[in-house]
Parts: sequence; C-alpha cells; structure tokens
Amino acid sequence: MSTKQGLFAIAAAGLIVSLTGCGTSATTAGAGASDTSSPSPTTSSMSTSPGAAPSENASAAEPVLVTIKDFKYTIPSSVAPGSKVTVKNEDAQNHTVTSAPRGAFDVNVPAGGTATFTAPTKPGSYKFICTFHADMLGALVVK
Amino acid sequence: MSTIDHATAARTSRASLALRGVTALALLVDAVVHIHLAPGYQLSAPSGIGAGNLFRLEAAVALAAAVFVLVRGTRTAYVSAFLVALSALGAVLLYRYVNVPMLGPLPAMYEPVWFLEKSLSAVAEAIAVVVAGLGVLSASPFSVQPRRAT
Repeated sequence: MSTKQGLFAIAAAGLIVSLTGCGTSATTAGAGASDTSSPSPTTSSMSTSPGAAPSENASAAEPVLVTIKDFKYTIPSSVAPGSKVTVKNEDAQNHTVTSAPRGAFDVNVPAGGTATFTAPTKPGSYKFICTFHADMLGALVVK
Repeated sequence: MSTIDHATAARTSRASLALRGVTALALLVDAVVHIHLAPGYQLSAPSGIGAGNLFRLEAAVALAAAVFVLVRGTRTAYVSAFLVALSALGAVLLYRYVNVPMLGPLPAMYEPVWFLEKSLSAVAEAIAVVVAGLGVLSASPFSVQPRRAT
C-alpha cells in the first residue's frame, strides 16, 4: 500500500467512526403539541435542576417561577390555571418560552433578565420551546 | 508509461479526488448547519455583530474553502480548508466549555450543551480538519492535477 493510499484509508476510517459517533448525540423528539385534560408526567426533554424538589401546585395568587440556566428549563410540577408565570433567564443569551403549537403563551426573556406570562386557563400539559434554540423543550402542566 | 505507472497514477488520482470531495462535503455540511441556525442565534445573541451574522460569515468562508479545494486541490487550497475548519472547530469547543464574555464585536455565545445540528457541524469540522490535513501533506504545492508518473 502506498503512502497516499494509507492516508486515504485513515481518512475514510475516521469519517466512518465520526459519523457513527454522531448518531449517539441525537436529541430527543421535537416538541409536539399537547393539550390534554390529564397532565402528563415530566417529559424526557424537560429538565429540573438536580436536588431541586418540584414545587407544589401553585395557586393563581402565588408567584410561579420558571428558570432558564445552561439552556435548560426548570419548571414547577404544575401551575394553577391563569396564574402569572415569571421566567428568569440566567444565561448570557436571550431565550423564549413559546407554546407549541403557538397561541397559548409566548414570551421573550432577555439574557440575565426576567419576563412574565399568564398560564392558560384550561387545564392540560402545554409543551413549549425556545424559538431561538430548537433543542430547548419543556412542558407546563396546568391543573 | 508502463502499465504499473498507469495504475499508480489512476489510484493517486482517485485518492486525490476523494480527499477533495470529502473535504468539500464536510465544509458544506458545516456551512449548511450554520446557515440554518443563523436566524435564531442572531435573535438570541444580537450584541456586537450578532451570533447569527458570525454564523453566516463562517458559512461563507467554509463554502469558499470548499469550492477552492474542489476546483483546485492544491496545497494552498487544503491549507485554507484546514484553517477554516480548525477555527470553526476551535470556536465551537471554546464556547461549549468556556463562558467567554463579549469580546469587541463578538457576542457572548457560551452554550454548554450539545444537540444534533451542533454535533453534526462539529463532527463535520473535525473531519474537514483531518482530511484537509491529509491533503496538505499529500498535495503538490502548486499543481492542480495530480502529478503524472513519467
């Protein structure tokens, strides 16, 4: 085998190995619409900070806090219908909390800032995304 | 030219074309991913010239390098592809693991996560680095076509 053939073989092997490895980094399925009367359990794409106990159901009068940190949402286990939800963005980039499909709620949260929106009045599990970063997914359970 | 020389020249030509093709393809994947992600990142990190515009700039340079390698296949072309891919790979790794603040026109782009498109782009950049590096080592400095055996 000549030197150039050897180099080519190495390159081809590297390509195959790299592409195989890429398959393991795939994210979970995208955020499909969900608006059911029975709140679903936490989805695999929803993130909760380690050690942080989910908050109890919040009444409409209690403040509800969703936190964004390291491109992940930390979400209360459920919120009361029509409650005010405050979103705190601890990242250095802007994010959104946008229901999927759109319409239920949509708020831009500036880097290092906060924003609020009103939770839907109809009970259900509302999946949401960050429209800037399609891999950021969550679900807001209203009950 | 002997039969053996012809066979060697043919294999060399095929290897050269493969190197050029893989390098260009990897850079093309990198460019497409950056173009696709640019609009969201421009809104996400608009300070300075904006992350989205940086992505578009990177994509344009990667496309130019891909065309250069594909058309010319000289050592200069491979060096340009190598540098473009290496800088892109270095940037994605830097901003994945280091919280770099805004630097002049460069916005803060710390993003401590991997997802499919980002991973695909990084893998393509790594492939381009390796293959273009092989091209630098194997290509003639000036010739467009592989040298013929005499």
